[in-house]
Amino acid sequence: MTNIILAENISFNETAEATSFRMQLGGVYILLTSKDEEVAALTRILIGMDMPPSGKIVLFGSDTATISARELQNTRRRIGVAFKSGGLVSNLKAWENLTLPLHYHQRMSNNEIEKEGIAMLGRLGYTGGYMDLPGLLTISQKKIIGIARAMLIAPQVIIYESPEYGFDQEEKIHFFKNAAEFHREKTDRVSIFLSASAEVMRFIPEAAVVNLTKGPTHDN
Amino acid sequence: MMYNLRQKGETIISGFGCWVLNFFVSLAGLVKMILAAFKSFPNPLNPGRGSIFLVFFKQVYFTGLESLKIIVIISLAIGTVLIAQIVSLTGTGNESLIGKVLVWVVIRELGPLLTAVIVIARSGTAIATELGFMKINGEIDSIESLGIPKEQYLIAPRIFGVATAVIILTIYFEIFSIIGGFLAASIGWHIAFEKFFHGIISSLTVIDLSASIVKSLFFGLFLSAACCRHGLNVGKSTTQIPQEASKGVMQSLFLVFILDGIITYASFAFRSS
Repeated sequence: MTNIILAENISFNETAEATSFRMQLGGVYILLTSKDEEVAALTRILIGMDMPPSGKIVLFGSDTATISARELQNTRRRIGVAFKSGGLVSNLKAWENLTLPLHYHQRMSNNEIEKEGIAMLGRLGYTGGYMDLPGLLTISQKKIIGIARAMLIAPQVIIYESPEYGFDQEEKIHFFKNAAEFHREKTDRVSIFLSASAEVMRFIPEAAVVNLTKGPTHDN
Repeated sequence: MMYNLRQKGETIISGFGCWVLNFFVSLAGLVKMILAAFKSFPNPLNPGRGSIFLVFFKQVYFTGLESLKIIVIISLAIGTVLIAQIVSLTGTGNESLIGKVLVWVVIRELGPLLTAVIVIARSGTAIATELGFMKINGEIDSIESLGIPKEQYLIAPRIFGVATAVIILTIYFEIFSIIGGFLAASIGWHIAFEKFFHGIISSLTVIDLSASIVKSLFFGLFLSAACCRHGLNVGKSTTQIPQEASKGVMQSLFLVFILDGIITYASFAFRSS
């Protein structure tokens, strides 16, 4: 099977031991770390924003250390990232945050964008104001906008950073159900859940778990 | 004793040398940033142009339209004060000289310079602070994770937005200074509009107007680039935000005065050639 992400002997901070893993077309993965900070560091490494202190990451067949900035930008357009706290831009309203990548990358009419955006927010159960600035939203509302933004671009790879954070039990169930449905919509989609909480495994029993808490190399 | 003095002298000289070198390195960085902004200016066929132009128009609105009230009040006051000083120096009946001095002082110098200083105080700090906060909150990373380059979405529209606003505000500053000057001349010394206007028109040249526009363009480009650069220099601590904002303001002011000198000299060289 084709490797979408290949990590070879990477360590995501100076003290962690090197580890290797690969993620293949259509797979669902949980990357379990011991701390939240490691989740954030690993997200940045996986999307090529930071280089790992050791080892290499091969993303869609290209080494992130040698790929050009333009190629990396194009590669990132195939990856949706739902950040821990939403990753919203504070001077853009909720709706502007949601539709920013569509307006920027896609040739879609405003009507099409509006239709898709409203449908996605409805699907994820968004309850906040569309024209509110992120400062006025709750953590879970910010998170839903961030998740909807990542899903709207129909990415081949979707990364959920600390997906359990900021949601109550009911919201967690709703989110993981939606994430599983979203994964099934495209046969070659890769879904990656990065978390420091083992609770995530309970919500996605079908996922392959890469346990980065123990240190030694794991190869899935 | 002699050794200490010599050592102190060497320290001062090497410190000054370091400062000059740092200044040129920093200037080269700003020029590179401005060139990158021109390079990343969106292609009309690029689907992302709408979002970029939205940031551009917001910047023009914030820097241009929202500063207009301050610019109008200051320029009216400057025009009034200048006329009062000129008339007290030359007396009435010397309208051509009044016009000439007003053109020399307002159009050639004060218009672009004071407008740039007002924009630095108002928008320069705002840009550096906003970008600093965005950097600390991971918003810039979040934008880049969407495959949107920060140079194109955040930097270029701010640089061009501020440059456009500075040019427009300079024109307003000059017009309202002349209006203020005329009001003071008319009310205080009963100088007729025709004589006042003729004095200005006869002294005004295309080179004066061009130098004024060129100055405001360069001031706008460099002051915004300096503030953007310092905003992006913020690391992980919020205490760095005010530090970088004030550094951005100081560098912008310094650059504006240096550029003013260079462009004024170039326009005189061009005039005498």
